[in-house]
Amino acid sequence: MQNIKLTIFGEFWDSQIYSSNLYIFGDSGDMYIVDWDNLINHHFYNQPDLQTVAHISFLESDLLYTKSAQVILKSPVVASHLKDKFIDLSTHNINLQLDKSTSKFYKRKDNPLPFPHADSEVYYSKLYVALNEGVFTTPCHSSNANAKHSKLWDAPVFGISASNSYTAIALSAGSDGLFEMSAEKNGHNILSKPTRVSDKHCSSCDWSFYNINATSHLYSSFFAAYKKIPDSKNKRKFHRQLDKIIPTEEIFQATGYSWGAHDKMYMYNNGIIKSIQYSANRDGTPSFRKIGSLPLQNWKGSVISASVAPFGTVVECENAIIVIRSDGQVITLPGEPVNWRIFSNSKYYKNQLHIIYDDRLEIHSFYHDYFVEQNVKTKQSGISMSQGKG
Amino acid sequence: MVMVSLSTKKNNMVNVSSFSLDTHRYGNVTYLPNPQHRDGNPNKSQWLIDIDHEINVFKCMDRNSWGSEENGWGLFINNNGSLNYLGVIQARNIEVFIAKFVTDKNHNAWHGYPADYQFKAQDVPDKSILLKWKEENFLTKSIIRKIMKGQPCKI
Repeated sequence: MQNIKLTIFGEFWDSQIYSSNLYIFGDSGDMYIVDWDNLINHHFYNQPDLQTVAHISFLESDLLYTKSAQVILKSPVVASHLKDKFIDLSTHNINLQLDKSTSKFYKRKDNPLPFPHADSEVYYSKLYVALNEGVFTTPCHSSNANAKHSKLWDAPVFGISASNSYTAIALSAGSDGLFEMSAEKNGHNILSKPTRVSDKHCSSCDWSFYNINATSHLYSSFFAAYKKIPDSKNKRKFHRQLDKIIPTEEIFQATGYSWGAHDKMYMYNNGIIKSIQYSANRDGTPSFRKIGSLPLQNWKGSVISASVAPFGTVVECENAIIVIRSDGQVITLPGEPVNWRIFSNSKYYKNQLHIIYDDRLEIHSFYHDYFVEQNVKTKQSGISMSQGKG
Repeated sequence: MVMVSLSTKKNNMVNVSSFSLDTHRYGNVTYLPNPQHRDGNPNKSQWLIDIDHEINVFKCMDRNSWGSEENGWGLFINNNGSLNYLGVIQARNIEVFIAKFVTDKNHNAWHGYPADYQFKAQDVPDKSILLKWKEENFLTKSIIRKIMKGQPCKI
């Protein structure tokens, strides 16, 4: 099964996709806001045979992960038919231009945020960027072409990552450590100045339910383990409280470059990726279980960055992006990317891998994972999409 | 930038505890190499290039206005226009290719060191400088992203 690829030509820096809009940070301090749903629907308007799989591939990744859909997919006839349609779509060259022919589907304006940034995030209808000048935000849907940004923090930052359900944003601040700041659920305000989670070196970070996976290229990576403390007034509510910092060497009983998100953690060393499944004990303390190692052949060079999505583990090497898919296939996407991004915390775009090269944005959509057993105990590569909770 | 002409004048020896190398004057600019970045100190990044080249990197920074009145950023550029590594993060054996220069107000002079941009986000050059280096084809967009994110990168 080949992944599906859509290409948008242009010179870009970064991309985000959120709530039916594709945000592309242009290379010259500009920003494209693409009406993604309508652009995709328009593109496939004359291809009714492909509309369903195009919708799932680009607009609603969650659709086939629902319990109801998984029941339907157990029918071999249905599964086979859908696979055939996905395969058909994967043979198409889907090329889009942001020009006059598509002008009603996008707006181009000055990037209201500092450019270039190190990292970006979307959270409760706000765009955030982080760089060595600090952390900045602006509303996603500002109709004001002259909208400016707000500066939230002035410390230098390498990376930013928002929790999908715990109203918090984690910040990787290099030698200053890992920080976290709270956000209101309605997203109107940042409630607090960032607080330091750990003074250990942190290059990037991601969320493992209510915990934070912190990655360092230089020193030991670590898992910031939190406890759930019930609210004294409302027992259905709880607060997160930092419990302890666990070095990943302790978790893997090995050394190497490690990363993780949701229920999975990985460590690379000497051509092997070891995988760990995280779960929470009844008292909220973390439990780690080794689930094997991932196949890697002919893979050379050091790891630049890595992340994990439901469709598999994505590793950036010096001259290629490698996807170790959840069905065991390993895909090499050659070339040195300008940037790349996955959207594991989103509801509708979990199946997408965005890769920006010098002259284009490639959106790779993976569908194999709908046909993979989502058992948390057996799925080695990729976040498990079963209903397990952290 | 307030720095001006770059013709080398006489070098003078200064007698300050942590700065014992020769000073170098260019117009009204004083450059004072910091010996801690040449003495094998494992806690300090170390120059791989000799002092003459360190000074040339500083001059190049000055000539191109790659900085402000308080700090600047330098590259070690070959005659053919390509970049070379200029220092090493000794404790981790990582070669680096960007220098950071800062004004030393105590000595009314500049000094510089190989920037440890993977460790400290403070050692990532200003975005305007990175964009200039991209425009002048010294750095690709991919390398700029890696520098800004503190990721490993090679030239």
